[in-house]
Amino acid sequence: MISHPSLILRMKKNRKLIYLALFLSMALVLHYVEHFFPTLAPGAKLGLANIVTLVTLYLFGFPEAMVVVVTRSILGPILGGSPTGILYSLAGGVLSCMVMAVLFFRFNRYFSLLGISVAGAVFHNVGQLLTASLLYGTIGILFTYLPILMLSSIITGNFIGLVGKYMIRFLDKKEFHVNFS
Amino acid sequence: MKMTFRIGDALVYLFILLLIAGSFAGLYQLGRGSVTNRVAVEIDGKVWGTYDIPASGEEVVHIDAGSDRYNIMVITQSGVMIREANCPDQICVTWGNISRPGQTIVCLPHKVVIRITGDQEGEPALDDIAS
Repeated sequence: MISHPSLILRMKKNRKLIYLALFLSMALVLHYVEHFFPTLAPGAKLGLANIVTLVTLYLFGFPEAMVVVVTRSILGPILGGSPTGILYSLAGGVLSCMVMAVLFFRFNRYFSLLGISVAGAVFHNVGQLLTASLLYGTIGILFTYLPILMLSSIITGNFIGLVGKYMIRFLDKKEFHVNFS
Repeated sequence: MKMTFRIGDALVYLFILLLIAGSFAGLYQLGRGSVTNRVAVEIDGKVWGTYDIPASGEEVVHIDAGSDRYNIMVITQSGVMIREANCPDQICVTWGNISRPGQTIVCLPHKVVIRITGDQEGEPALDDIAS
């Protein structure tokens, strides 16, 4: 019974859905918890939710990661009580997810996971600052905040890459992604 | 997945250095210009007020951004600065003095943008008055 191909396919689909939902809720919690950490510089954030983006990219692929990122960017600020943050979250999250996906699937040979994570953190900040610059009509915001945020994203990007590495290693050991691809 | 440092990682850091250098160059470029005589204050994208540079002394402006949030702006012949604010990050206070047209002081938490505008040509520049 259980070996029927379509049934197995459906089980795989459901499994995937459940895991994506789990990842999304993890991203939302991390997005919220982030507020309680002291920051290295004003405006700088740890970007903990990027861990989930990175892991989803690795285990599922670009479309799935994008779904998680967009949903998180919309739901996170709403649940956190600041709906105005949606635009910033979306811009940063989508841009960093796209950059990480390109590096991950096209230039995998040249980048380590840490490098990809740092690039993701960098473009997260660039996306947010570009949005702020557009909203306030002065490119000066980008130029002023960028240097300090770049330095902080080197640190946070490496940290997130490291966490992602151990998370992937743990899930790999459970033969996690073999079930999906 | 390879975890050791790879050539692309160096490129990422190079890119970061380029971005930092680029933003300093951009800030410098924004500060260039010769003519100025007004200071514009915007709150949440809307013009809140414009001020002339006082001929002598200093002009203190209390910017009320609503719900008990304020920035105290000081305009002198040598430029504009925020003396005091109750925003959480205090970036606008540490921003320091701006004096050239196109330069801005931004207080993101209060959505306040202070800009030096130079529109009337032939007017003496801020630096010229100061010297």
